[in-house]
Amino acid sequence: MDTPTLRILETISSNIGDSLSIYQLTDRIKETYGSAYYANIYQKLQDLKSEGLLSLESVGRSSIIKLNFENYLLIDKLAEIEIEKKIDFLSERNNLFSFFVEMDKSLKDKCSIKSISSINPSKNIKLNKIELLFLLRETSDYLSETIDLYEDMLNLEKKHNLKINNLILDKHDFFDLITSDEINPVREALGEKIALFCPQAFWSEIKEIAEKNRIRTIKPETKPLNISDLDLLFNLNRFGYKEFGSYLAQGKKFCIEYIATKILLEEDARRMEALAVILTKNNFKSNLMAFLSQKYPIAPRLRGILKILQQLKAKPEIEKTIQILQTFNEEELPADKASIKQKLELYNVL
Amino acid sequence: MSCDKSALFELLEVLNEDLTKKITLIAVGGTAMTLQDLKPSTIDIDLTIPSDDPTEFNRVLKNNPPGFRVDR
Repeated sequence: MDTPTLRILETISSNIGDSLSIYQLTDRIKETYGSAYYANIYQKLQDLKSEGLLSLESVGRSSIIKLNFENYLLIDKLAEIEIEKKIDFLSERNNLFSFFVEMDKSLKDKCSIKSISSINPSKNIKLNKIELLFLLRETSDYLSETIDLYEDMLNLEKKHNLKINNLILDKHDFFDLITSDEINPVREALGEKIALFCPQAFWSEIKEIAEKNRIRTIKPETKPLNISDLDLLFNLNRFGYKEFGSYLAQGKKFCIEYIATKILLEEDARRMEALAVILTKNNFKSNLMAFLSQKYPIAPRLRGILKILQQLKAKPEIEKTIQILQTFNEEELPADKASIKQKLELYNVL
Repeated sequence: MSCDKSALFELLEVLNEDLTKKITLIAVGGTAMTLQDLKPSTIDIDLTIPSDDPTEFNRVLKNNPPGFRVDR
């Protein structure tokens, strides 16, 4: 694949869901690769349009570029880009070969895995870690598949001295997160990932979702401690916890798992009780909560709170999250049962 | 996991991107020796931070948890 085509398709696919005009596409390519010329991009887009890989829709005086998933070859082209990105990434990191060889070996017979992507690998490897997005086939035993994968990855982590954070999602959770209007790690991951294992399966999944719903990617990645107080209060209120005397204004919508992470990282006792209230009042995704607990050092404290919640108001996702967190082999930090119970009663949860 | 000079700089580069103000970090022991090319690598990263800066450094470190052990 020639370089201009690769850069154009890569930029459009990593901004999927954004309706990019040719000017915006030129700007994004310039941001990523350092140079881009409107006239060249315009010409290349016409070629790609005539090949049927994308469509250009006129909106006012602009043309909006969209991937044409109806073209059978588009998935293969996108998979080719993923392979190019993987080669490019690994060619400068020969020391990771043994890790990937072993990962392929230990996962190749796991029928439940549809694809594996590495989230923001260039940045994460600088921190001596890797974040993996596992997409699973529909499985009747989502929880034990998840726990098995966590255990396999933990063994690899120990052997290769490389921190591995795992986001393991089945079709339904992936669909919910990628089409959600809340800011969440999956929407953020799509813009900065390399599909390492079965890229065609990854893009087929995206195609299927794009046909039914709008995919919404976002950049950049959220740093939980940078979530503003205004956004935190707005989201706590949205999830059923109102702080008395606080000024409330419209903020950005974050997923409950990000809000929980922010609270756990801040370690403010009063907000910990707020966390107990929102986790009991709302549904959350165990696998996403587990991923964030592995990524940020919050697993021991979260496990302590969830154990109390499971005694006071049991819910399947609380039990599932506890089971996944137990595989991390980190000691639990006990929470204050009496104080949590009092708060749950005050907020009409019990 | 041992951490060589380039890995140390890469870690600092990522943390630097999230800083909202300039802070001072003082490399200590094996970390200092690695940065000075007196040692090939260090097992853990030891840093001393002046009293004005730990809050900012801890925030950035919590936001970008590395796969190395950082002692401060």
